[in-house]
Parts: sequence; C-alpha cells; structure tokens
Amino acid sequence: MSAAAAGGGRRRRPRVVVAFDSTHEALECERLCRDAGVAGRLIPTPVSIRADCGLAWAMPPASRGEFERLVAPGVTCAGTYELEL
Amino acid sequence: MVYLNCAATAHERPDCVIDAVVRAMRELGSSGRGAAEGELGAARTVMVARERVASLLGFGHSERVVFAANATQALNMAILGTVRPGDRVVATDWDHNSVLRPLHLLAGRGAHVDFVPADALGRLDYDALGRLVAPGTRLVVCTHASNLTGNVADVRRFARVAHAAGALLLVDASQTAGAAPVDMEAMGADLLAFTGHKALMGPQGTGGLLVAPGVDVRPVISGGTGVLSFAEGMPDAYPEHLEAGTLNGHGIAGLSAAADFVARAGVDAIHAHDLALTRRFVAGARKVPGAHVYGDWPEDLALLDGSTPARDHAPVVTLNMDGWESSELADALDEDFGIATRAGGHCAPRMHRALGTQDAGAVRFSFGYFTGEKDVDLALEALGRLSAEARP
Repeated sequence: MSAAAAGGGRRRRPRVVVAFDSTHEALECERLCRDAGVAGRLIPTPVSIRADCGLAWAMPPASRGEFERLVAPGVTCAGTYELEL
Repeated sequence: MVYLNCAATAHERPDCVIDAVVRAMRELGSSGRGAAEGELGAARTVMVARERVASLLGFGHSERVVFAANATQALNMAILGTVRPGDRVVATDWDHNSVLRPLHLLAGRGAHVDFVPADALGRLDYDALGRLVAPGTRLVVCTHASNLTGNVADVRRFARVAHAAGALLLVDASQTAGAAPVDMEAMGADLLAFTGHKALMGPQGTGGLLVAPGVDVRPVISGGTGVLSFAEGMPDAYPEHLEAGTLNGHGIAGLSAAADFVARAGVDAIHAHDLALTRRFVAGARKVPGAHVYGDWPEDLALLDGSTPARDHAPVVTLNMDGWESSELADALDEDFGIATRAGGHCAPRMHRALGTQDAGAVRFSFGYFTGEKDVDLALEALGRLSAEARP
C-alpha cells in the first residue's frame, strides 16, 4: 500500500522521465531497461510534459547514466525530463 | 466431422491458443490505455505478438506490424491508404474480393485498374504483368496463393516488375501465412497482409498488415490510439499510425500463441505435411470417374516439392464432378459423410470466370495442420461413392 493509500500523503521524489510517441517504443524501452538492469517503471505520461495518455519511463536520477549508456541508443524517445513525481 | 475447409478457417486450434485467449480475457486490460498492471500486461502481450508475427513472416520491423480484424481489413488499409484518384493499379485474376472490391471502389473514384489475366488452368500471364505495370503505376497487388486453385505466384517476379516501374507491391498472404515459408523481405514486398485464423490457427478477428520502412500508408480509419491525444490527426509513428480504436487484445494474445506454436512446429514441416496431403488428394481425385480438378498441376505430382513457386502449392484443391452440381456435391459430402468442404464462388469471381466455373461454382477441399491422411482418404472414398451415384 502506498503512503497516500495509507492516508499519509504521497511524497514527491526526483525522477527522470522519458516520453515516447508510441506505446511500442515505451515497451521496447521497458524491455531494454529490464535487460540492462536499469531501475524504473512505466507510468502514465505526466501532464506536465504534455497532455497525453501515453506511457513514459520513470527512473531515479541515479539510473540516468546507465540509461543513457545502455538503453538510449536502442530506443526512439520524444524527450527526457527531470521532474518531481 | 472431417473438416476440409481450412482455407476458410482453421476450425481446430492448438490448446495453447485457446488457453491464451481465456487467460487474456481473465487477466489483461487494454493495450496502450493506461499504465496499471493489466494495461501493461496487454501492451506487452501485443508487443510480443508483433514480434512473433514479424519473425514468422520474415520482417525485421515488428513496430510496423499493424494489427487488423482480418486480412480484408488489412488489404483495405493498404489499398485505400496508398492509391489516390487518377493512380494506376495492377492486380490479377487471382485476387479475392477483399482486393477486388476496394479496387472497384477506387475505380469509381477515378483510379485506373488493370488485371493480369489467368488462363483456363488458372495460370497467370506474366508477360501481361510486364506490359500492364508501367512508370506511373502506384500499386501492384499479388495474391501469394490462389484461394481457388492453390497455385502459387512468383512474388519475386512481381516485385521486380513493380519496383522497376516505381510501384509498391502488396502481397496477400491469406492462404500462405503459417502454411508455407513467407519471407516478406526476400520476396521484395512493400506491404503484406495476413490473416490470423487460417493456417496460423489463431482466433478469428485477427490479422494485420506489415508495412515496410519508408512506405507511406494513409490511415483509412481515425480515432483513439492511446498516444498524442490532443493531435488532430493520427500519430505518425507506427503501429499507432494505422491502429485506431481498442485492439483485439484477447484475440491477439491467441494469435501470439498461435504464431509461437507454428514457429515451434516449423513452417517447413507444416508446408511439407500440407503438400503431401495435397498430392495424395489430387492423385486420388484423378482416379475418381467424372471428377475434374481445376488449376495448374504437373502430371507427375512428385514434382510438387515446394522448391519453386511453379512447384509449390497451397493445400487447396477445387473440383467438380459429372452429374453433380457443386452445391449438391458439397451438401452430400456433409450430410452423408460428415465432410466439410466449401461450394460456391469462394469470393473469387475473376478466377471462377477464368476457369469457366462462374455459373457452376466448384467444391473446394482444403487441408491444414490437423488434417491427416485418413481424412483425405475418407474424402476420396466419399467422392468415389458419390461418383457412382451420379445422376445422368
């Protein structure tokens, strides 16, 4: 149960968010991250990036280097953002 | 029942296909419509399905495997999405109504459509192909295997002619995907339509279009895609570019299991199995008094080894029998022997005219993965008995 579900409020944390133009690309990114051991998960694309109902990859800032090195060359991203989520 | 109508649908399907559909219906949400576990599960399932289909059909770009409800919808997407009023299109007498009807629609809007003719044995006139396809031709459509005679087209030859004129090549693989080796890239196809429920043995309601990189297909249907909701037009990125509306995720889960099953069984092995049954049936049918088999067959059936298009054959045999109307013959096979075939026009009007069977129709026997020699022999025995009963 999340903190919010427990009634404690949801704490925002810094996240690096990668947006895509295609669900397929988002899923490809997820697979590459899993294979490379890059932490993170697929989330609904934050509205602060753009008004969209697509998927985005969210990861802790510490994973960004690994992501850029191991995953980014293999996926087509629409943008990478640093957000508090 | 002996099911010899596999060119219409598989009828019998592997348990893994049925299990995958049931599991999807119990567990999966809607692909691309959220990030909760059910939705992600659906999206991952669809993605794996694209990869399996692409791999099976010799296509290296799974993101350009566009799912559709069937081959008809895929062919409509391809034809209506590439041809504009005033364009020239070349198709063939082999084509199914899923190709012919959208072409007739376009002809009514000012497109110019020519057909490569077939002779009385159903053989395509490749010289006419070379004459009809000219600079300015937008699209050439080639049915990989006739759904009436089972004869196989020389798709590479179509590709050479089409590309020399700057035209796109669309291949209709409805009768071959899952039944015979299909390598889209080796064939030189720019677009390839397939159905999921025939030789692939997936659920009905599945099929799709493979779109080669660099080929532009305009969306015929627009709507929600799960991405870029505030854009007025369809997204540019594939596959969403051509996939408006909720996908048939449950069916696609089954299709994915089916593609995996076929890959594991081996397309080459399935092809050899089907060819053996086809040779066996034709050899037997030739001995049935009054039976007339349509299509282009070698005298020596051993030549049908699948090594070239001319020596290949889809597992489809169509015939008529003296003293029987085709509809009566199919009905007798069903009622008296429990053998399912298909009579009628088979949605292939130009091919029936070429064969001279536009009035009589014909009875089609078609085989698949679950068909055995025993089934073929029962059909031959039934034909023999009905031949003896033929009325003057």
